[in-house]
This record gives sequence, C-alpha cells and structure tokens, in this order.
Amino acid sequence: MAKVKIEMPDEFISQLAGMGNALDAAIPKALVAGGKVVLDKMVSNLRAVIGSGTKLKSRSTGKLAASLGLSPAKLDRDGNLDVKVGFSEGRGNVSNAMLANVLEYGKHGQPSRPFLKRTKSSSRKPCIEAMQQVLKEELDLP
Amino acid sequence: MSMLEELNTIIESAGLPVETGVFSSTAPDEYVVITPISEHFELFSDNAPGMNIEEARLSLFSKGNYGAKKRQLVRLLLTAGFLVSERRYIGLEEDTGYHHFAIDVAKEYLEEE
Repeated sequence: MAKVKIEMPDEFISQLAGMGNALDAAIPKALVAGGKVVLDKMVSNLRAVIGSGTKLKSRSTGKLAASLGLSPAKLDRDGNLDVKVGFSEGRGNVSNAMLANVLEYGKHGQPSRPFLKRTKSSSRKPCIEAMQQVLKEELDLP
Repeated sequence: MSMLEELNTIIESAGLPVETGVFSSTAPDEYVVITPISEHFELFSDNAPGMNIEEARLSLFSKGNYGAKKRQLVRLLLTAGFLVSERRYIGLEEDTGYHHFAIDVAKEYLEEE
C-alpha cells in the first residue's frame, strides 16, 4: 500500500509554538478589552433607563449602576477563558440582579426597559473589533 | 409593513389584546405588550445599508394557563418569518396574579430609500 508522510517545516513549527506562548498572554488581554466595550455600553444603557418614565419622582440611589463591573479573565469549569460583565452583590434585602431583571423584563403595570438586550445587540461588533485589535497588537499581526 | 404593524396583526389574530410600550387601558386577564428593542444595519452594498434588522420583545401576561397562547404566538411568529431569539418564563407576579412570559423576536426588512 502506498504511504505518504508529510512533515511540517521546522521553522513553521517553531513559529506556531512561539505564537502559542504569545497567545496565552494575549487572549486574557483581548477578553478584557472586549469586556470593557460591553461594560461601557451597559452602563450607558442602564443609566438611560433608570428613573425614566416613572409615574412618581424617581428614588434611584445610583447603587445599581455603581455595582456594574467587569471580572478579570479566568478559566471556567470547561477550561475556557472568559470575563463576566455583571452586578456585584451586597446591597441588602434586595439583590441587584433582581432589580436588573425587573428593569429588563418589566412587570404588569411597569414597562420593560431592555437595557441588557440592547447592550447585547449594539456591543457585539465593537466588542469583536476591540478584541481583534488587541490580538493584532499582541501577536504583531498586520 | 413595519415590524410593529406585523406584530400587532399577528397578536390580534391570536385573540390577544396588544399595545406597544405600556398597556394603557384597563388590563384584561390576558394581554401582550410589545417593546421595541433595537434596529441595526447588518448587510451593506455600494457603501449603503441594504437590510435593517429590527428586534422587539413580546411580554405575555396571563392570569391563567398561558401555555396554549404562548405556543400559538410562537407558531404564528415563525410562520411569518420572525426569528424567535429567546423565550423565557419570567415568573408569577404574586402581587398581581399574572404569569409573565417574554418572547424576543427579530426580523430583517429591506431598507427603503
């Protein structure tokens, strides 16, 4: 039986290995850059909906918007790196996540103000572009 | 036909009262509120946007079993060419007695000149 063996050039293999090391350092930076884009958009969208269109004068304390933040890049349970944009807790009787959920989906008599969905739709492209930019800079790609 | 007109027609054909933004009249035991979410251009040609993607959220409120109306709505939306991007039971509002179910939809529309 005919047999074909193809060997990769040593130079190319060493380039790939070198890029692998650089990638390990570049990926967390790219994720944080993308996360910052999403965070900025979410803060802006959240501030726009808090206290808007209320029947009574808004009693917003600013705690919800202030609790928004970005986690550092960490490995998840599947071994993949990710960052999280979300609310820190410790507000007291009512959780920030619950308040955000009521704002996002509304209730009977309280209109939905979908700041999360709007953030997802509008930040997708700029987030990808920011991550691509960081990867290009870190890996010296054209 | 705009997305809001199309959604209104679909929801009314399912026998549900519907309003956009907020239900201003006295709420019946079962109703829908449409919340427009976003509009964005995705496809371009000759440096001009050719397609507008519109997104909206349908909030179904029901004091009874909402399952049949939910399934009917989703079926009608899919038949009309809508992308159903999320279906989520938000919960039972204990103070009002309404079950709340959210359906997020999106559809592409040709950009009119």
